[in-house]
Amino acid sequence: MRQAIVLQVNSERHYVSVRPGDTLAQVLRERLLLTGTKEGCGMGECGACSVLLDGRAVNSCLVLAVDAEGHEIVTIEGLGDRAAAAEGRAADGTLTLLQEAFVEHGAIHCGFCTPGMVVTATDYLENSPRRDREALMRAIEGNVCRCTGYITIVAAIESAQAAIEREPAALESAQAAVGAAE
Amino acid sequence: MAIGKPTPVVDARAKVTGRSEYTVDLHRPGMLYGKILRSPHHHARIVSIDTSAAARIPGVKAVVTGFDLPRVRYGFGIRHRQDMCALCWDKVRFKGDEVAAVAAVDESTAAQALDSIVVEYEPLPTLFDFDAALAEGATLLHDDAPGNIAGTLAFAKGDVDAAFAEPGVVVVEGTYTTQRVHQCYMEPMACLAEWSPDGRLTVHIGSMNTSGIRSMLAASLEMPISKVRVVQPNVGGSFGSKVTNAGIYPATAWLAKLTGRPARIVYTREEEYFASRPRVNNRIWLKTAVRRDGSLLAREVKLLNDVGAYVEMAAAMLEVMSHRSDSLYRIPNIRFDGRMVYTNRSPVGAYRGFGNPQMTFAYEEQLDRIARELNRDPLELRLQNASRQGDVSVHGWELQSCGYPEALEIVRERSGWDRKRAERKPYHGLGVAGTIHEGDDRHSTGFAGSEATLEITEDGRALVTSGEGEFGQGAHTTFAQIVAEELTIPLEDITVRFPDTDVSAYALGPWGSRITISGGNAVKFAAEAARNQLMEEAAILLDVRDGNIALAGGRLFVEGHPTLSASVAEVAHSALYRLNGGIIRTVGKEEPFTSMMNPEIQSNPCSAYSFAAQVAEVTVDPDTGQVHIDGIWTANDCGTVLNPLMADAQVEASVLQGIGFTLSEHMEYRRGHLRQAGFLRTGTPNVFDMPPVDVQYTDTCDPYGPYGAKGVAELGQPPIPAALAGAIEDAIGVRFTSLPITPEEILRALTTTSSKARARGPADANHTEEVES
Repeated sequence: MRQAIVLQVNSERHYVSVRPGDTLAQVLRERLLLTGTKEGCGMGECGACSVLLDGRAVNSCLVLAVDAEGHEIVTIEGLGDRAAAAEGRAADGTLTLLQEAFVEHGAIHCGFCTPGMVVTATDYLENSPRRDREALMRAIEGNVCRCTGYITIVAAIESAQAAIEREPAALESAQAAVGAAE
Repeated sequence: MAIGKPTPVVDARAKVTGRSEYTVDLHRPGMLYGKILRSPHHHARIVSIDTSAAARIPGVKAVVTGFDLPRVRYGFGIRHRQDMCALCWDKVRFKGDEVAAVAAVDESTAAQALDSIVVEYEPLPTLFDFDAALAEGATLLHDDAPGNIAGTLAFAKGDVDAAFAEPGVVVVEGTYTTQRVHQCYMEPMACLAEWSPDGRLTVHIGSMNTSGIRSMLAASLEMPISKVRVVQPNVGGSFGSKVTNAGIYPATAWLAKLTGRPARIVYTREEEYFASRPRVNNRIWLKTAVRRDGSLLAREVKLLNDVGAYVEMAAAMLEVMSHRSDSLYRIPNIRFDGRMVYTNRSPVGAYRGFGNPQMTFAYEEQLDRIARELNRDPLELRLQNASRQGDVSVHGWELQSCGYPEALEIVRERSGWDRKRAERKPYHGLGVAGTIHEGDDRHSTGFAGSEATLEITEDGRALVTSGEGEFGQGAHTTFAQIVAEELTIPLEDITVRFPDTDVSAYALGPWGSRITISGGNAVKFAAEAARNQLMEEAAILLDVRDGNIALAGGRLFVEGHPTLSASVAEVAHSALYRLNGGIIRTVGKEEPFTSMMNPEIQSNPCSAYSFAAQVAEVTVDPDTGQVHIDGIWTANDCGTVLNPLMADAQVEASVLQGIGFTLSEHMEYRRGHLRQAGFLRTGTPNVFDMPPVDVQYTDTCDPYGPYGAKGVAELGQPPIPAALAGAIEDAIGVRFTSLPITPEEILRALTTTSSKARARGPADANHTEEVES
């Protein structure tokens, strides 16, 4: 039994026919070929499949595709364009501040946890009512990384946070992005 | 200067935008989704398999069983027992053993097909631990392995009996056990197979052992090696495990062959726990003799390794475990007796340290006990016995560089060891441990080196081809740094290709921390040759008959003629298009002057040996049994640090994996059944489990490794279990000789141990209770 749904992913509409049991992760990866979203466990224990659903990070392996209809989905592939749109720039493949920080701090090794980690941290930077070390760690607690020991990841997120707080424009654009998504 | 500069991985931008392709991400037009049917029994004879109902399901394109594939038994290389098979046809030997495979148009159809395969099993007696497997009259897992012994290794060096009988020596003895843990790489095992019309097979695999898997896969399919091409995309972590030819590769290949369509299999995380290759669990009996002046005299080891249903890499593991730790300290008399035991559990594989964390856990505990007996500082005792540069160890290992004594001094200083030990606090303790690791361990008398090619395109960029795998550890970044250093061109102008057995040279595989040493030297030699060619070509282009050419900043200069110069691009372009010219393409070959490990004689199997010392500081909560790690101090002798950014994180990550192995991670079996399968339920550490870690390096330069470098990847994990167990003992007066040391075990120990032991100041105690959890 299949069902036709419309998914709004990275500001594009996709018409897909899915089974009721298909997860959002499966549909993103196997049907829309948006393989930037990784699947590490399929049971919500590793966070690799995190995507933004209406601006908030969710494990896409725990969301049914049919339930994602009518919501704004942003995957790792769409973060740069989303930031550009929020800043009124044309999409030019530029990395977000957070992505740049991940690169610079050596927070990326095998890269498999990276998309989920970046998506989760994006949610943290845009939405967390508290932004300190403890809150940051709580935010990424559900994202497993085996290559780095987390130190470089925490450093990368904190440095992006500092950059955003230094530049009100960046903060505004991040908030605008949230507004646009919602 | 590219060497020594903190450098993010060269493909970081692709990875951070989700554009890197891993095997799990590969799609092909018409690609089918495969799944493997696994045995629900631990041990059973296959009576019959009926696939007809599965084959009739719409969307199912192929069903294969062990009766369809060539009935071949193969092993991890020719030196190992040939006991594995792609799909079982006679018996299943562990719960999760591969029985059949299906290919369908999507995953859910494939899963439905698995449920429709009817297998009739005749259950056989099961063997879940050493004792059951070794018991007289126990059922045999493999008919040709009497007593369920999968292999043995025994040898002696020096006169162990005389040493233990020497008057006045202190002798300590103990038994240590460790648990199974999974490597928990993030990308599950995966394979995409496709056949060309001329009968050639191409497999894309999430493994960095391309040459090895080509051989094993060809053997398991009874194909010539030349008809198999193995391609490696990005690999989402491995930590040693993914080097084997698990059933996934031949099964995927066969499904693709039968259907004439590309097929892909990706393990679920559950399958990872049931059917991949976790760390070996073992029982180590150890006895150590020391003279009253503190000098180590003799060691005797009896080791049992639970290798599960098939030997896999376990024979190599036994060999390495028998030798390695003996070279950390000066010790003249050694006796080793190791056995590999078949049980009805999944086979085991490599995991960061390759037996080293387990052996170190045992050896270093005895050093702590000896220090107590002799009333010595445990760090001081290690320093007294530490191997030093220029030493030839009891096994003949030639330590051309050794920073272990310096490493001990560094962690003593950085951790405030002396001061903190003087100021005792209740439930608070310090532990120290050290380790030695191999660099490029020779495992055959044949080719044991590495080969790389380098091409300079006419626009002055470098293309590097090596069969040595990148799996997230940063090999490509290291190789690019080496080329940047030699050719003085920017890192962005260097591309390192992923291994492809049609293109890249045969490579041994990524074990024994050999990629930087062996692969790095090969790349360096290729780059040096390219530099020489550039200089020759520059002389032609600039029409210089005599006069030296120098290379700097991506330009070739004529010394003494500052105006005469050309860029690397101009020279490469000229080389290609001048009369009788050609592309600048060089080969770098590395072959180490090592000898294969042979217990009968002295050998020097590694190009270089790496060392590390660690101090752990803990506070134990007596009410909850929780161990709070106040800090870990590490000092690493990996020779010259080529990339501090990656090296630091490698050490930090291995420390965290070591913490998981010591305190929480456990693939727990109850009556043979794996109780939990998943990251959370097996104790995988998260960000909150990472304590403050101080990462330092010794000032060592190895004469063999590129720019003086040695391996760093496997230094962080091995000392941790011993250092933490030592610190816990220092805090509560109880020494754990069994892993993991969970809060429950600590509470149990605290309630059963005398209050005297608990309340005492550990430094002045000379008695500690030993607890086997």
